[in-house]
Amino acid sequence: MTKTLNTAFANLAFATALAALLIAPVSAAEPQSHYTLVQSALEKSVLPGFEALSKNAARLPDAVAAVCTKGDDAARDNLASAFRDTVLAWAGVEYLRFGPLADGGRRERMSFWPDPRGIMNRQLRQLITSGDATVIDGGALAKQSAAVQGLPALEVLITGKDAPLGPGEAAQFRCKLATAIAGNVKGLAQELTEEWNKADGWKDKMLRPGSDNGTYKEPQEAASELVKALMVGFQLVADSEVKPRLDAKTAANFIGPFAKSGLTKDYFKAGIASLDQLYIAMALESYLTDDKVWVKNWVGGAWRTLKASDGAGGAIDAASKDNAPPAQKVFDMASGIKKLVAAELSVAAGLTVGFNELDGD
Amino acid sequence: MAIDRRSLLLGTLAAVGCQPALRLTGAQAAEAARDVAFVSAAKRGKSAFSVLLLSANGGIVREIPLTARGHDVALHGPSGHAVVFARRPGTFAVAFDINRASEPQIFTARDDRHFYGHGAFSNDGRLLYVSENDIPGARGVVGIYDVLAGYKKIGEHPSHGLGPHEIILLRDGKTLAIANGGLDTVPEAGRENLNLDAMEPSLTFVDCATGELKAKHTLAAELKQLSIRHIAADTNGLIWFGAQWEGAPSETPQLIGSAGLSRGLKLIAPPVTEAPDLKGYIGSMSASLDGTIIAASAPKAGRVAYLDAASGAIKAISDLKDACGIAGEHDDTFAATSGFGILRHEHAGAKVISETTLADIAFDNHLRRWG
Repeated sequence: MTKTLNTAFANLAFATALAALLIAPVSAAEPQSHYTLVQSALEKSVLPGFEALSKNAARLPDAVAAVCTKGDDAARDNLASAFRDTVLAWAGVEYLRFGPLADGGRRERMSFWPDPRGIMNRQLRQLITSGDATVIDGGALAKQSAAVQGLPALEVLITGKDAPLGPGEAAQFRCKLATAIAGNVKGLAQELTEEWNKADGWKDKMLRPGSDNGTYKEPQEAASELVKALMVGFQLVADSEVKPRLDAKTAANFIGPFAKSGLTKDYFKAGIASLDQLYIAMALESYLTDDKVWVKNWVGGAWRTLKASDGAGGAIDAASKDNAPPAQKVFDMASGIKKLVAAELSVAAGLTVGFNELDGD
Repeated sequence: MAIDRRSLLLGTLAAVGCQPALRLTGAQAAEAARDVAFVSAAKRGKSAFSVLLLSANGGIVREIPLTARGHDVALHGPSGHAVVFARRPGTFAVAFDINRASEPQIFTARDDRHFYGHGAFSNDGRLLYVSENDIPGARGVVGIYDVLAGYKKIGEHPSHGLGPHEIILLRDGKTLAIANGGLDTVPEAGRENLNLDAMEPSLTFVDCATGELKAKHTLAAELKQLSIRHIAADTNGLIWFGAQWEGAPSETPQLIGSAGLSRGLKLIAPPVTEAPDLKGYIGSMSASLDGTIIAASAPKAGRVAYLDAASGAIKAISDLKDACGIAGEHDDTFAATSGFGILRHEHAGAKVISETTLADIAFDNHLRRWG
């Protein structure tokens, strides 16, 4: 009996609740808080990005050592693979130019690019010619010019056909240098991960805003930092990777990132994939009101263009090569998303970034 | 990327040509010009750029469209000549007359040069000095343009530094003060700074007739990433600079300082830990009309700092989100503009006098007072 009553009450309660649900006006879900936006972006995009960099960069020293001691094809393939994975992981974080990446010149030391003046090549040549081990041994490399410390310099040594890395006497200094650079890249990547994740590190700074926080007083400030990073990412894609291809004069001299190892297009794709991941994690579109559906639609189309492109006027895959977005369109779409993030999405989210504050001049 | 100069020129002319405000009659234009109190580059809507001639209360007297983002405006009071410069690393400049709605003149940087967004007229208004980059040479230069010959480039001086940004003519009419930001940029790399670990900021004083270096002041090694960008002269002829810190945010030093022809660079007194946080960037500098008060805007912090020029002490700090344009008005009052379309008049004690918001307008870095 009691059970029957309880069941009846339960059924009634369920029916009442269902009726209430059916009668109640359908309301849009509450937009996520700025804190949630930051948490989501860090957990789903930023922190995994730096972890991937650290994990892949950690493979480099052993991979270089294997080439320099064995020099067989397997060792070379392994080094090429470790290098590729590190470069693509770097593409996924290099636009996050705040916090640990802005500290200690880590960005330039990790990858001195763009380098239209060819500074890296010049300085690397000088270093090799000098054969001076004292400037690279025991961490001394970290005190040299940023141009010779990072991935582009390592790329030159790995891909050099005239003097390839290997066990022979002739490659001894180059191997020493490659070992030092690989160690430096590994160390930088580790530092970045540690600076983000340690107690009171940058993750804590962004997730614990307050009056005692020297950088972010409110969750809104931490969320705005991510909006700025997103905009910087689109600006870099548009201005540094695509725009030089639009003018015949600049296109002739343009050397894309990691072109020597044939990774320019993959670098572009990895950067776009990372921006997409961050964009989704931040869920800025959830703040848009119904009259701003056009923003969502336009951005959706722009994303399709970016994801279909190889960044160089070609298609991301051979199957769709007939529909390859021209570089001009890719530039317009990347610039367009940046503009809509600035003018619509960030405004809707209450995270407006000032016209003058984004990048100083 | 180096924007094709011919396309740029044609595009800018097309944009200028379709501007209805330019079809004012001479009398109407002269009447309207009397209302002009400020000039500033701006963005209208999402991506239309222009230079605005504004009345004191924020009314738009005239608007001259630009094909890309402008930066600062050089003015010559007696002649009414004005030139707005493309933002770094742009290559165009648009000359116009404040007093007459005549067709603007566009001129561009040489193929191997780009502009840094700033310039200054000679006292007689016949020459225009422009901060430029010698791209292949990786050195700063001051381009010299003949105003009456249609802004034809007639020469250049070395800036005696890298990455010259704001340049001003001192009261002697013979000396240019040049803020060499120390940063290397090239158009094909966009706005990327190419030498962050090898910066060479300096403040130089250069004879504007001969290009001879009169004085060069540099910062201590630990401050080499303090890019000296914007300058203003006080009543005693001292040059006040506002800088942008390109180093580690955790090591941001004081951003404001001063120097003279015979006195080296000196940052203001309060240690950065005790000073208001200006977020590593001063966007614009201006002196009060009598030169006794210096204003420094900090857009990333959303603040304007007012300093006593005699002591270097910070008098007051006002809050204005994305504040950047700043111009001395009367006695101790300044006009400030923001990227959110606000034009504000306030005392150097940070007391707001009045404020107006221009719909759909984002003011760019610099505000210049006219008249």
